[in-house]
Amino acid sequence: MRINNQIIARTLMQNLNRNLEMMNKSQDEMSSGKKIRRPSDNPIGMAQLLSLKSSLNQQEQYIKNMEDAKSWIDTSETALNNATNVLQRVREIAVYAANGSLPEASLEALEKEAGELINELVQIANTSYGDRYIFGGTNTQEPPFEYTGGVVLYTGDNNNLEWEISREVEMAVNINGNELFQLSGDNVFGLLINFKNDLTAGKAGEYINDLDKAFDHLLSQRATLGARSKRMEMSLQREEEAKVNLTALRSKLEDADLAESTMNFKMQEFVYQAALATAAKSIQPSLIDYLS
Amino acid sequence: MNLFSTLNTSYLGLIAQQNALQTTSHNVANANTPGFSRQKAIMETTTPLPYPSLQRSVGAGQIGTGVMVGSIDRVRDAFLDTQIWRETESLSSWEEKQKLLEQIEVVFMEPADSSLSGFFEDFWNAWQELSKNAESEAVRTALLESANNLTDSFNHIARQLNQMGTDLQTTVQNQVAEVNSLASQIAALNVQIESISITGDNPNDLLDRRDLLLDELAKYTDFTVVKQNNNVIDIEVDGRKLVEGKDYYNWSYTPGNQVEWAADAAAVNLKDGGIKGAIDGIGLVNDYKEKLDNVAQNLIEEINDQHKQGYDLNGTEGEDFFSFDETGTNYALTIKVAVTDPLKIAAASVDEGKAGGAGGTNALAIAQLRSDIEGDYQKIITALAVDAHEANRMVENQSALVYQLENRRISVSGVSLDEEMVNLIQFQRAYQANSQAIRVVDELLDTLVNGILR
Repeated sequence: MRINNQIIARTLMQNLNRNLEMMNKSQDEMSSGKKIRRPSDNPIGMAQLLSLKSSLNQQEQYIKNMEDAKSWIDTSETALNNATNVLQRVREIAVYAANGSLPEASLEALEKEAGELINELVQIANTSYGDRYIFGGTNTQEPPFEYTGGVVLYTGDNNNLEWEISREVEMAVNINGNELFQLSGDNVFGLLINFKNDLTAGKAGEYINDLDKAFDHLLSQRATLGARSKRMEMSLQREEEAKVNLTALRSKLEDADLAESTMNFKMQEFVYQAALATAAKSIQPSLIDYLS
Repeated sequence: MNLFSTLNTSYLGLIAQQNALQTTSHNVANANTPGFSRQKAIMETTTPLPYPSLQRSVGAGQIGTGVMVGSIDRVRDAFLDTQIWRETESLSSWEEKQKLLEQIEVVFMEPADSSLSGFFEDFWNAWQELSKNAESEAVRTALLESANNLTDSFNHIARQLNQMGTDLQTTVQNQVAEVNSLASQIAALNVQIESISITGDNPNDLLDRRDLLLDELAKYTDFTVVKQNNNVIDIEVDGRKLVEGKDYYNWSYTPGNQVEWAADAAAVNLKDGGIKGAIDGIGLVNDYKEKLDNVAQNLIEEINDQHKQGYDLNGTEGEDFFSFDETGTNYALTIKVAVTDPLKIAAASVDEGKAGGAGGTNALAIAQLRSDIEGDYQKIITALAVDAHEANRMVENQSALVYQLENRRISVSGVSLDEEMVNLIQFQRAYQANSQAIRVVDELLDTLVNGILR
């Protein structure tokens, strides 16, 4: 090939330009920390990245949902724990009152205590989390239980709060008040009110069996919640692990390897300087310099 | 033969070297002129004496009578030119597409967080949050906020794509005007070239200028060169003459139409070049717009369907969540959030709604539409990635190819200063030697004339 000044100049420009372009790319990688800056940088990686990003985002939302659900369930569990304590105390009163040899004054004191316990149970049933009543079904804005005129009324509904805790997996985070306190026939409140009313009449002993049943019922509800809480905890752990893996995968796809970029940049810088040095030497001399 | 004719021989030598020197200095002067081909003074001997004939006097063979510059040629490889034009056409076409796809990438802004997929994520998550806190007005307002961001983003991208389509039409218009201008310049050069060629001279510099115009033309359109007599060329595009000797035929383009021959409005079917690239680009933009419209349409229809199945906080049935300009199909451009009152978001299912409660089952059902719609959108970005990647690669390859071919052309036709310097010395010395010969003849004549007289 016949080489002339123009070719030398062009090749020089082209090479310098290419070096600069490569340096620019490395610099871009280093300053942004990203390998994939636009879709065309890596079409296959981009497709993976998009679905990974979406999965991660959903995962984060599910984790958030589960955390919220867990707090909700934990609050419910605490409330149920208190409710079983109340029932426990009522049963003790029943056993004590069934003794038959108690004076009238003692029975009246017990009746008073039973009344207080009912109030307490209503209060427990009206437990709220944040500004939401947890046992009202989807009716969370008003206290679901009302104790007036010797009866307890349920104003909530029978709906469950179904939250998505994993892709297409929904779970009820609540137990509605109806389900929670409903016994065969009567509900827990009715039972307690009847018990209270019959206490001074010396019929306390007849209620022990039913009170046991009510206690068992609440225990089993508590167990259900406990199981859900446990399940949530395990799912949370699993999702957190998956999130770590997905994040690592995403980082591998998207994030620049800083050490590699820096090394590349240094090498390119070296080549660029070498090219400049060569250019300075090769572009100058010509036959003209040696003719006098 | 006599001394006077020897004097003449040396004189011819002087003239020829002078011509060659002139050519050399012309080369040096144009060392950096774009499109210039180095020229060579082709020297040849003049007719020797005696002319061969039967009656010629007895003597030693033929005697040379001197030198003349037979022609001044330009050093050029026409085959390389054709190759460069072909590859430039392809390069220009891809360059238009690459420019466009790069812009589309910028508009979609993937995979940055402020991209459409980012707004989509916020939108779906807001429905998830609503499904958990259906009675919260704050959560409802946040949902509307994210929905508005999403529709704004759709509108913005659609507007930008429209703008790109308009810009490309302007590009085609400009390029067509450029082709018309080039055709007229080439036709004008044809006239000059012909008038010089008829006299038997080589119009080297005019030919260079015409080739340069053809280099330029290759940026806009594919073409074939048909050589005619006297260095005149015709240019054919799509089987019709764009330039025919001194005549040229204009193209016309009105946005939204095809490129046409101005004379009879017949379509110009381009195979390559910038105009073809820009026209393909218009198609590409429309493709992406249509794909985006499909996503917006699905979003509107699926969410509205589901939203209408739910109940709002007032216990009434849900209405359309999204609206768009129903007089057309510009879904992405005109999509808006129809719901303005946060209480009117129908988060509750039928049962929950009728109970007057604040259930979030319907909100969850809407949140679960995510994967369908998201999948469609991801397909757009994947297609864009592949298209843009291909365009980048093609431009890179074609640039390298054109660069190599141009290097080869410069290698053949470019001026080498070293070479010209060597020639300069060569011709200078020859000039000096001829002068010397004249001095010697002069001395001989002096001897003859003045010596004999004494």
